[in-house]
Amino acid sequence: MLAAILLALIALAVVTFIAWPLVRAQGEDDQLDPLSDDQRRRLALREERDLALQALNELDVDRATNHIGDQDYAELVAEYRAQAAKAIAALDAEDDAA
Amino acid sequence: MSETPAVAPEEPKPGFRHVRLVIALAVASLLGTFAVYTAFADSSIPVLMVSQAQAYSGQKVRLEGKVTTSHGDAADASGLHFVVKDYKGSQTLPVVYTGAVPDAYKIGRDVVIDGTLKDGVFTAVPDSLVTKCPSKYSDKATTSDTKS
Amino acid sequence: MALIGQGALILALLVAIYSAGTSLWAATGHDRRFLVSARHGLWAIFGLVIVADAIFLRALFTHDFTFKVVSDTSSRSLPTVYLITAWWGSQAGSLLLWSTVLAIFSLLGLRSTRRVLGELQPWMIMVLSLISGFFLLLLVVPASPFVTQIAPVDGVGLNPSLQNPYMALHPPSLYLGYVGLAIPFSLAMAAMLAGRTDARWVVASRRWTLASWGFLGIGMLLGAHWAYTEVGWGGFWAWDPVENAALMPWLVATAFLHSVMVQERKGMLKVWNIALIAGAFALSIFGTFLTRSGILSSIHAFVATDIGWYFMVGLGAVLVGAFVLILWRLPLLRADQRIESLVSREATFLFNNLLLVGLAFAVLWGVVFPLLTEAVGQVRESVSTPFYEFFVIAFGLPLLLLMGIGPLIAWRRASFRQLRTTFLWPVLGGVITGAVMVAFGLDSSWPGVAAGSICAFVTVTIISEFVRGTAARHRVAGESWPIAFLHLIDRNRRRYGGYIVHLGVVMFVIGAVGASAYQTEAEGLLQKGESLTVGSNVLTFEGVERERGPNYSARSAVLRVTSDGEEIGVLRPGQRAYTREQTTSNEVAINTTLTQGDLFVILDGIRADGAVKIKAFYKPVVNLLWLAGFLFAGGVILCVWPDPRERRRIAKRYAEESLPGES
Repeated sequence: MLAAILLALIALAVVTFIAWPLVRAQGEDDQLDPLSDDQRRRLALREERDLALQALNELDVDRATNHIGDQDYAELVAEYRAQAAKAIAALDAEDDAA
Repeated sequence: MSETPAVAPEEPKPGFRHVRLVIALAVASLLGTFAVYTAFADSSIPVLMVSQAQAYSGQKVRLEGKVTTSHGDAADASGLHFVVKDYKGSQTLPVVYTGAVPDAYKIGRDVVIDGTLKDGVFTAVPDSLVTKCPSKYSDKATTSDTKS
Repeated sequence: MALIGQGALILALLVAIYSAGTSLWAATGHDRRFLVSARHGLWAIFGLVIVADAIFLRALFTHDFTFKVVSDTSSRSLPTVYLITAWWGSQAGSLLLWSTVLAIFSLLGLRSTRRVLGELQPWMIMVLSLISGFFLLLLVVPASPFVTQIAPVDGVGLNPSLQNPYMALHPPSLYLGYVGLAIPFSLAMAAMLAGRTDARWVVASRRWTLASWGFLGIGMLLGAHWAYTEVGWGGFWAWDPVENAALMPWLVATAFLHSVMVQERKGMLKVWNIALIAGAFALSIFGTFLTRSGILSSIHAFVATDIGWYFMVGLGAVLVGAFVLILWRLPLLRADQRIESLVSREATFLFNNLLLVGLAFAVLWGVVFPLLTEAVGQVRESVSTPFYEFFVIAFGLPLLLLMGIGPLIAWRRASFRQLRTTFLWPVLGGVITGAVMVAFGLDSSWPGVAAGSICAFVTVTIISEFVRGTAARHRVAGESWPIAFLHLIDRNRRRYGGYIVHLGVVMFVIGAVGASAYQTEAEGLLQKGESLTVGSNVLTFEGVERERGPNYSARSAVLRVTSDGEEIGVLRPGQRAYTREQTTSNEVAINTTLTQGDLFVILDGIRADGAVKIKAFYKPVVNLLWLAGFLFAGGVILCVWPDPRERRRIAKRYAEESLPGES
């Protein structure tokens, strides 16, 4: 009997705990906005920028440790610089527009 | 590949085709290893109950059953003599065994032994005796500890 | 009390279903209140499972044999410490542990990833709730730890093989690994459900995958050490399905850890990575299932048990779910770039992945082969050690080789001229080692020589990586050598942590090769005063000793050991008879010389006339196996340790967009 009462109390506590967020009054910030297309694009650009910057970083390390030849280094650095610059420029343009 | 190669070029560069070929070859050789091994290596052994063993007389098999009687000493040259019985059913088979005896071995336990059946006696490969997860304990580690 | 325990588990199951529903609603209806409620649900599950744990443990410690599980796995004479290991000595107990760890990890996983998750969070909660619900269902219906009975006078006792300190660490470590994989799995699924297949789930899951993988590795190593020192047949790995159960997800997770680096850099292999993490998690469920369902003894035994069907359905849900999601999101999973050259780090990672997955598949094939043959024909066929050894050599040696090649090749592309200089010393190291091994007569085993040379090749590669990195810092930043070395590691923890793990693997391979390919073995029946020679060691039998322990009686053979006429000591291999449990266990005697190897002695039997049957092995360099564990763990910790620089960078990337869902 005691066990049943105890169990009922636990159940009550659990239900109160998980239902509480639902019964309280709805606040203003309760709307979970999905990312807008703009935000998604900016996030993608930011990831692209970070990817290129990280690649440039790694290329420097590879160059310093002699893992990569001068010609490959020059080609790849040019490629990733362009990529990073393009992403940053696009981000700036978005910021200006906003 | 210049600037952002977000979209793969329509026509793969010659270098890329090369990459694809080598990867395909690597996958093929992995699969080939499988095929060759399973085709040529005698990699598996039939696992039989006592009632099935007669049909495989003279062939190397793995026998499963419950130990009903046991005497002798596996450390002796004459070996450990025991009888195994099907889990369900009444058929029995005498076994002669030498070598290491696992920790959990005793009458009533389920065991597995490799060997050959000849003239009604199952001669076991030395050290091949393994006890199966004893039903008394429902633990997870037993199957590995039985390889005593 | 049992009623409260069972009630708590039923409540937890209901809450899990509720949380899955509300988080789905939060994800699609975009209402934060439902998200908060679902999150509270995870806390409630945690609380309820802890209640069940407390009741279960209390029953164990007070010897309350009205609990069937307690009387099945413990007895009054069982030493107190082993009451803890009795927790996972039963099916119900270990599933309870699974659920407990999952409840804790769900909360930690959510907390550690909340900054980057955004709209993935409700989906992640949904997946975690479903997994929790599955295991709670197992605990409520087919495997309840709270089944009661009329109390017997005493319990059956705990299997003696579980009565040792390793069993306090080995199973929990594996469980942490198995359960930990649920976090990266839930993140991957969340990313696809939300249609956000960018780098976010990869970034958020990295530490969890690494840590789980580390726990699996350490768990397996502990298991191997246990088998070696306690089980005592003279080996450390028997290719038993229970061992393979942990190996398979570990191999697939290893593949994932590597291929995900390619995705981080080049945005390719997205589908492959999701398939790998789903595969690793499915295999960890399969592993739990293998050890729990009785499927191993026979397909028919499996059909007879309930829990097997539950597991089949759960496993099927994971596989089908992942497959359908991948198909659905395929358009979003297109690669951003392609591999530019075969001579690049990403290409070596690709081959490493093929080999790792191939090896995992070979092991899986070996595990399910008996079941397949039984299902197809009438007779079960089983594969044994040679099958596994073949594939470990055929796939493992090339993998080992790639471990030395990968670090020498730059990401993206490298030219052959560069390779000539970088490969010079490692190749020389390998060739010289091979030659020395042959000169010392170690060509008795060609895989041994091959493994030895490749290990030397990899070691020289890794050392040269540390040297070049330090030299570059010394030169470019003008730091002193020790400072340059420390900064090098600190600034590139993932890379150099990885190298340290690789060194651990090399050490492990050397130890394993020494213990298997180059061991010497001898056995004999010894009368008092007679001796047995193994390698340079002579063991002389001096008599039998008897001893009584708390719940066992023991007999051991006293062996005096001399090597080249020099006395080394006395070894006492013995056998223990456990009275209550009615079983015996072998107690092997090991004489360890760290610099050389182990003399490993088993007492196979004592005859009535007083003669003993002794089996002895000499295993050179076997101790590297265990020492490798420290390098492995150290490397993993270095990789996982929080890096403030990395955190700032990632926080910056995602904070600017003020992602929804955080609170």
